[in-house]
Amino acid sequence: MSILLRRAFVLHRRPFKNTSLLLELFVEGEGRFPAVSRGGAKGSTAGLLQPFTPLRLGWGGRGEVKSLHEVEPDDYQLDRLVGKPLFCGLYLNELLMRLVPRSEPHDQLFGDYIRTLSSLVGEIPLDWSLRLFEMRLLQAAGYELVTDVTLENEPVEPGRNYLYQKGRGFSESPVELSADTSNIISGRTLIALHNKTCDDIQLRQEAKQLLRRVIDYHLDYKPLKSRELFG
Amino acid sequence: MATSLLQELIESLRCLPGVGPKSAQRMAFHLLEHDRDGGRRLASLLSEAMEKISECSRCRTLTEQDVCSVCVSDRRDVSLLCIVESPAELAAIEESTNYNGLYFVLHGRLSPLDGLGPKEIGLDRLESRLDEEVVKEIILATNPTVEGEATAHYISELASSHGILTSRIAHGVPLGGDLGYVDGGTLAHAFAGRQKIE
Repeated sequence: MSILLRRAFVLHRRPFKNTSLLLELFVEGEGRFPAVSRGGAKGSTAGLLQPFTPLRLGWGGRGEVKSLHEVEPDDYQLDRLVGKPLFCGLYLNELLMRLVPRSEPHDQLFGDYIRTLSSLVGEIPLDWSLRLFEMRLLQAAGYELVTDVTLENEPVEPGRNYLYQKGRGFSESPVELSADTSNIISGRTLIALHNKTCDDIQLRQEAKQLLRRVIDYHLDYKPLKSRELFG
Repeated sequence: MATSLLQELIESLRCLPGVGPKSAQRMAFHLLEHDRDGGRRLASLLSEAMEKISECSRCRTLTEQDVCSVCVSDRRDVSLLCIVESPAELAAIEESTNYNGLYFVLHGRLSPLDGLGPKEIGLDRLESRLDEEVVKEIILATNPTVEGEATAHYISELASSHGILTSRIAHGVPLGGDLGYVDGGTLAHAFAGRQKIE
């Protein structure tokens, strides 16, 4: 019986017993789930079973933790992440682990993940790559952030300011500013997020603050450890 | 049914790595039947070691002194500092290389998903050490894993903010190895890190 090996990434690995690895996998068409690779900490599989390496995997088992049978490198390669892009990659993995529940197939998200990883060594500014992935991840996790229409069903306009309503969306900001201005965001930033393009560093900074608040809200304000790397 | 002392001993031996129920049973019976003296010595040494061995206040390796023998030695080159993930790796370097500088042990690596950030691996202590001492070169001997690379990069930035040179130990084809059997990642790494023959 031949099984088709599936496209996958390792999100996290931990030593398990003497030479085995306990892995958290992100697999195309399957989503994320845990698996054990027996003897995986030894030999050439140890080098392959690392985060950010495109893989083809075969596994079995009925329980929650699957058993990995076959590991092969995928037929394409990504540039090795070094330095700051590597920190960004670790951040992506933590986001996936924290925001996406296990065993929900997220076909689009898998492609988004590959595109984002390759863009981390490309020409798009690093922070903007992260923002676009955060937007897609929120959508996949069921928390889509609608940035072109307000909660009152009005189109977002570049010249106006909007108020972020936790977990819901944006409403037009009242003329008199409330004491807490941290939830105010410009229409230009929202439109940039909708159009997925942004050259203005100030707007990107505003988008970063906004998405940080949105993600923190959905994570019940439990901090993301990888943010400490950016210090 | 209350558990017997023998059962408890077998169960306790299983806390050792690589020891399953069968080996634990064999160890317990061996000590009780053939080597009571050895067992007593092991017991008293174990409890003494657990009480007295802690981290060296300078390099964080395991020692029963306040400062370990490497840190206290005056034959060491204090301008070299080698960063390792664990005391076992420090021991490996001591045994098989002629490295003559000092060490700093992280007891882990930067791994956000395991809850390990800069503080958890003692980088605040490393930084204060860089402030106080005349370190000229930091040698990063973290493992060639994704987390080891992230740790190396983080420390190299810390070092360059102190004007200290950093180097990374070489990774590549093992000695006596065969290129045909080395995985692609290692081979790519070996190519990227090739050296001029002098």
